[in-house]
Amino acid sequence: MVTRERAQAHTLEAVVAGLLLLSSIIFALQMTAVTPLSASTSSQHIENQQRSVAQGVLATADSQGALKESVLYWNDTGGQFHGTSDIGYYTNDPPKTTFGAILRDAFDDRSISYNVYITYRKQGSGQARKPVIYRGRPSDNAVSAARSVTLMDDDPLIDADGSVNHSVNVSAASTYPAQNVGASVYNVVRVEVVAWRI
Amino acid sequence: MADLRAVGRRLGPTGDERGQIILIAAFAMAVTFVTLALVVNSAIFTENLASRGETAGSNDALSTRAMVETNVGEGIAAANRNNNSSPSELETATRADIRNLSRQTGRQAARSGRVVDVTYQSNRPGVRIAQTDGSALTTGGGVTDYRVVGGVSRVDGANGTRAFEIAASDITATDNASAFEVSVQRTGATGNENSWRARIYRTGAETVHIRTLRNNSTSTLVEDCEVTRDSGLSTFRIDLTGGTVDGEPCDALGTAPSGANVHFGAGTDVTPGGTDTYDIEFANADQVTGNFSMVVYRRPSTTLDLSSIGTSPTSTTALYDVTVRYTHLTTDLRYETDLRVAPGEPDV
Repeated sequence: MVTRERAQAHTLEAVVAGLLLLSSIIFALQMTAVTPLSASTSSQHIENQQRSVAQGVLATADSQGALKESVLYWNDTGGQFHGTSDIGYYTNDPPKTTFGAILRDAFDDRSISYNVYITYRKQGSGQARKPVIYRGRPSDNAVSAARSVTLMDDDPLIDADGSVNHSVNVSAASTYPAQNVGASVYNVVRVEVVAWRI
Repeated sequence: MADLRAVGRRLGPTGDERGQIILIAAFAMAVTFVTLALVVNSAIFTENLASRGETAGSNDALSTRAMVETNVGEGIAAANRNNNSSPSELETATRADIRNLSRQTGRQAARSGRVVDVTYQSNRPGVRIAQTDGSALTTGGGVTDYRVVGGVSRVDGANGTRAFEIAASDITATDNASAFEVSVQRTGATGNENSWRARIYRTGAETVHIRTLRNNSTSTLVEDCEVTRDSGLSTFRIDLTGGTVDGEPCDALGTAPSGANVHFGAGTDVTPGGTDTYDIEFANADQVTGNFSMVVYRRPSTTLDLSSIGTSPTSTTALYDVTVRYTHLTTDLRYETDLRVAPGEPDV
């Protein structure tokens, strides 16, 4: 009988329709799940942007000679960078140099934290790495950019007020961290900026 | 199975055929969801591709190249300052600097999975003229108007003077008439024809004014710029070839707002790579006290006219430029090129 079979068929059809809808919604949701490009602090876009900014900061500072100035901003008597506490690196404010000002303008106003390290060859063999600005352990989505600066034997150290110290050059400094590893080239120092969003 | 709706049959109050409509509607909605998901996904994929940039790493190769150029430039400048007793000593010192630099840059690059190598290829000779005793820019005998150097050629595709910097502790001239003047003129030209002149004077305690005059054979172009130095500085650092005063750009020494080329030596019509030459002269040199330094190109088998140069300012053998072979290797990229390094060289 036609009328008696109807109810069963309708139930079956409704169940099939429900399954169909449910599976298509699950499929659609799976496709639009969180990707590396979804808006968040770890977005790939933001990482690319931060890496470009870090590279730009280093390139600008290098072309103005500010990178070298900052690397040589050293207090030879105290054996540390000018204006750092006993720990030997900057934690809150960047150094009072042009490079420090560029870093502050580029990152501080945008809630981006950063560390700056210098890496140089040690006498004998091996490399040493020293923090210049350290603001804590970078997050998992930190980015880094680096640039090398060549120090020559007769490059003078920089005084606390940013002027050239005519009496002490880098090869005569007694406490400068990088050592003399060449005849006329003093050392090649790699300046690395690690930046992350907070 | 429910029957299909018969044509012309009226619907009963129970809605006999509704089950099929639900099924068809669900099917249509499912297809819509899947299609939308595909569209959204392809948009995400497009965005992903767009944000990747180039993947081979040529960006890295080029930024390392710029870095190597700066660093080799430092080596040349140091050799010109300290190892200038003979051309062979200069070359030996530069080779040693480049070797050292290559080794250290190479080690640093190796830590990030790249191979970077820099090797010395060749150099072109020059002469460095400099004053370092901080006196007036006159000759040792006190002559205020004199020829600093004569017979400077231009290298192929570039200028013949580089890294011309004045560190002035004092500038006494306060108007155009008495200003210290640096003049670059084609050898043998008369009057002001084929010349480029820069006049330097002060318009305030901390403000320096630079006026450049570019004379082609027919017309004269005048450009001005003024830069106020940061307070607390004791010198004016005027980079005539780089076009900056205390690190700030000065239009009158580079490209003027009108787009005219007023770089060092513009308007002299000395062809790069040719045998034409120009002379560099100072006038009113007693108006500026301080130091200066420049490197000029000496075409092989010619001599420069340095007859006015004695002990202060003085001249020494120097390297005008150095060509190095730069190699950058990664798993995806091999980049090898010859790099001419002439730090502080302006455009032609």
